[in-house]
Amino acid sequence: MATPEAPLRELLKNISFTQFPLHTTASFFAPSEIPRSQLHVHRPLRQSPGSSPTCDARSLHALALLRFASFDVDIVYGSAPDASPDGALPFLLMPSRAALDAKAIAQHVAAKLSNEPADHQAYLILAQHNLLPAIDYLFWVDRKGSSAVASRLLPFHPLIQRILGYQKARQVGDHLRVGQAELVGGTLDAAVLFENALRALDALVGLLAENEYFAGGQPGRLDALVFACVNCIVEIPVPSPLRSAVLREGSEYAPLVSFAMRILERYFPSQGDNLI
Amino acid sequence: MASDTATNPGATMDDGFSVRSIFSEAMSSSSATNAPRAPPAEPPRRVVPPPAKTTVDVSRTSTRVSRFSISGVSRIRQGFLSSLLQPAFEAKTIKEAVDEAREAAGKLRALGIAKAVVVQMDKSADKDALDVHFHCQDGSRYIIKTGVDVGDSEGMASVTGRLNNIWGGGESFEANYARGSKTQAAFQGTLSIPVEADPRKKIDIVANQAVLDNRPYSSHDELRRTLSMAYRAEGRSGSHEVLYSLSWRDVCNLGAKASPSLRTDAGHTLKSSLGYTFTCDNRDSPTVPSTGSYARVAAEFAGIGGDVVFGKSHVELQSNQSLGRGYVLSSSVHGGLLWGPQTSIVDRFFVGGSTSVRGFEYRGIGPRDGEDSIGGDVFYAAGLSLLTPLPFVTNDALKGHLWANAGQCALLDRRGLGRPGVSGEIARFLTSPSASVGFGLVYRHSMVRVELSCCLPIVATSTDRPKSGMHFGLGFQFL
Amino acid sequence: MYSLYAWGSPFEELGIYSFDPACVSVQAYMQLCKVEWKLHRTSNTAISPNSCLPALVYNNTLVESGFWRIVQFLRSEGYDLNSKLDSQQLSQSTAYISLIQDCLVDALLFSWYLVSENFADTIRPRMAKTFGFPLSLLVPTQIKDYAEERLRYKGITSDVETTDGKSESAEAGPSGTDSRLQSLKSKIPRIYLLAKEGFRRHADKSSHPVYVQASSCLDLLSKKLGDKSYFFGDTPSALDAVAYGYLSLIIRPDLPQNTLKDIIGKNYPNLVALCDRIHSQLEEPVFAEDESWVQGIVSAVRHSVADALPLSFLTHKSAKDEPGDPELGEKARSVAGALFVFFGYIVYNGVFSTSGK
Repeated sequence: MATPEAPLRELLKNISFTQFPLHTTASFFAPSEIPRSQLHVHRPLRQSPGSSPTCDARSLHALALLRFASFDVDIVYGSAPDASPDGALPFLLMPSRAALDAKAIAQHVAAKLSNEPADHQAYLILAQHNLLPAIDYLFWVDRKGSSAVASRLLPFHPLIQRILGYQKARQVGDHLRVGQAELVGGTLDAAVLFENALRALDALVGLLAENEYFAGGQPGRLDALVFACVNCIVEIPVPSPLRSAVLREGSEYAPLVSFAMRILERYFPSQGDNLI
Repeated sequence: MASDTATNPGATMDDGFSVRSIFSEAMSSSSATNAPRAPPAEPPRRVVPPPAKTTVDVSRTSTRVSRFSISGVSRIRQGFLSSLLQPAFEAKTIKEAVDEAREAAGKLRALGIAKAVVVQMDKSADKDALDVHFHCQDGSRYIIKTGVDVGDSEGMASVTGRLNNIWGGGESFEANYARGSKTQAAFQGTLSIPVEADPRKKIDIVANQAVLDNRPYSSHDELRRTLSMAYRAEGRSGSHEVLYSLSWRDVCNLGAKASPSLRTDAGHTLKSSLGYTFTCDNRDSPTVPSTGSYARVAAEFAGIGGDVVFGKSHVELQSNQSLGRGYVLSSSVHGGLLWGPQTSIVDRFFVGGSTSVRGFEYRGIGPRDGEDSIGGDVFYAAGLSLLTPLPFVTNDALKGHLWANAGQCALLDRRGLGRPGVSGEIARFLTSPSASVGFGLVYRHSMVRVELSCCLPIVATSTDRPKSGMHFGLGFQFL
Repeated sequence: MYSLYAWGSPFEELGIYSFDPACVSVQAYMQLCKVEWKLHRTSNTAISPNSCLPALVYNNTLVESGFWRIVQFLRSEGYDLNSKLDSQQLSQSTAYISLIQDCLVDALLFSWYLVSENFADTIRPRMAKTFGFPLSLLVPTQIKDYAEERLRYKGITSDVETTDGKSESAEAGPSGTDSRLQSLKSKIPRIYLLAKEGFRRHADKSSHPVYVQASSCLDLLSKKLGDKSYFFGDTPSALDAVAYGYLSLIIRPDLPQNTLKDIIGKNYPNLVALCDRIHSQLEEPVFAEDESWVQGIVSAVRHSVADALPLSFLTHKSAKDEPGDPELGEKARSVAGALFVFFGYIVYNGVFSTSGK
């Protein structure tokens, strides 16, 4: 079959392809503009002044970091978790059309927040690995908890919500089980999770002592994380030994609860503005 | 009685049945009156002329089928048999009975119940009645096959298992697993039930799961799970299909580079829709036709339950004209419209690629946000091709190809044709498509069409992705 | 006399008596508190209702299982290493223990189980010798799967793929073809990546993200320790026991790819000194009898059954179980098994046949 191709090849040698296409027209599509950075978070449990703008601990953590670093962002509800670069809300959509997931947001604001003593790194890890698992358990694995927040955390058709809820409960259960300190972690025991969380809160109360913020005059990364976790523990309408220990009359965790209230009043004044 | 092997399963063919007995009976009964009488004793010797030829007109001779039996089939249902043979039992003449029996045998073969059928008709003990007997060779109960298929610009490897004649009525169940370059993994299970023992009418129940990798063009993966029920009927004018489907779509794995327009479409949606498709195909070859035309009209309405509401229609027309001496002029038009309050990328149309408008990348024409092609709500594409014989080539399957393609695709909402502050967009949309011309070679294989083209894009919008130069196309349906 | 049921050890000659850092920490704590105890090396996790070891048993009844519960129990019994700490130091102790147990352990698990050289050449053969047949076929792979799962949730995958510099480049460099490059890279056959890994086997691996994270943890620990003998003064505390538990598993054994040990040895000599200091105070524990091979088979069956069951059955604890006699069940099962084998042999060989043909 060489013969039919030979004249074709000669023809092609004489054509240079850089001049194509010969004519360019205007596009029929103009993407919507993003005037200000948008933080996409889960919906809150209730929309009333004095309650937090979102029900999810990680979303509240990101929002708190941005507020502490004085970044002005719009809060957007109703996005699917799949829209985020890492598959989970929150994510920040910048006017440059780039998207930052939770880790990237933390790095983004790290420069603007005050320097914290080196100890706080250890406390951050303590809170991340002991408070967040207990909250995840209450939100996803505990039956009452997951049905209370399912519509906020999975904004889809009810049938899909239910199937995804089961899948997520299994996934989070596995995640919590392998995250325990003991190797070949055995079964997932909610009592152990809550004990770890209370121990972490003990340590944090010891650190906070009489100060206004953990980091001194200005709130820092540890303040944001502890505020988010304590707020979620207090707000989620599910009875648990964790919640009752924290909210009990005269409990030793009262300083943390008032710390969370203080930040909520100061940095999240009302819910009417900045919402899309 | 030997039976021939069938190449065209749809047609009824001569099974070679024995009517000798009927004819001999008819002959003997009708010739009984004309039989030469025994000569009287010792007549004068003279030559007796042979009896006159009698003809039997089988289209007039009234008879009926009184009994039917079938052998050789491992499984067959009573209800199925009665609907299969109802026209035969209603036959009034021999011709009708023979025709209907042949047709029933053909249907048995088309449904896979029997591999070969020999029809035997005997005179029955009842008066003026026939006994029909089918000698069948049992159809294969199960088939497992592996293969390589070709989709549009995609090669796929698949494994299929099929169970025939599950409940004795020609029902079949097929399970299929395929993996391809664009489809990461696809499972499908199909239960096919013929209606009224007719292989041309059937009800299909399909469960399907596919993972589509759209990351190079649109930065997402799509996971689609569908449960659907369809009624398909082939009539004289064309084939009709009515389809209800419940589909769970998940746009996921967006990654860090996806554009904001794609992020608004991400997540899970449940689509519950009712659709109708009409196809009429009288071309001589589905891949490289030289005569005939093809029309396909599809309409779909989603919104009965589920959380997606839209109305979608899609039209494909193709006509081919042979100009003599191996030249063929082929023209085709595609168009579609998606109408809904908020459309999602999984429902929209995409234009561009080697099987759509040539000279552009896959999904290369249409709305584009950053690197992602997000599809359009309305599109049209037209193509004109001239197939020429090649000078030193005797094989009819390889032809030269001169073509011109044009198409355009846009959204209908505030980001697309409905942009505030810009007027006359619809007129501009209709009058300035992205177009390309080119020449090359076409090879026709019964399963696939292979093209090698040199593409020269003429007009493109600022966000399109034209692709000039030599390009290779492999697929089934081309523009 | 307390009995501690803990995992066995592949490095017993080095003075480490378990491969599980939580078990080693508990052992160190008990020795530093001068508790009277003996060590049962076992792989039978059914002793504890949570199916986790270490488990503390007193007078044949299970007391507590799991690191923190055992420590709290011992504290309530009067064996408190933290008794001399004030409230601020106590909260620091909790935070730093969490730092070690939740952050540093990733590097330990990575270096033992995910570096294929280490696992295949050293860890698995030694563990196989510790467990004996038939558990040696099951348990090392089970632990490796556990380690992989745990690190996967943190975004750390096995060494072959991440040395290509995965998604940290996703934020840097918004080039248009990057996503296509990533999807192309994921299509490179694994055999080429393995070959590339083989060529770079002697290169310096310390830039891997898991080692970078470990360095920052060790940095914090080293700064906290400073020049002191122990973390909180002159007497060891719970934090020292935990630090010993995890660091000794890194520092003392010698692995083919010793990146973590080199990092500590080069940059954090005070941590190495702390480890040696505590090690010199520990003595060889009193061993209880090892489990018999029948028990080994029973444990093996239980392990493989537990593996095959879907995890959802195992993830939920509905009610607190009564702590029962841990050994009675074992004894009963091993006796039943032996009787079954005995009578089965008799019947099979026709010594004893049932009537009726």
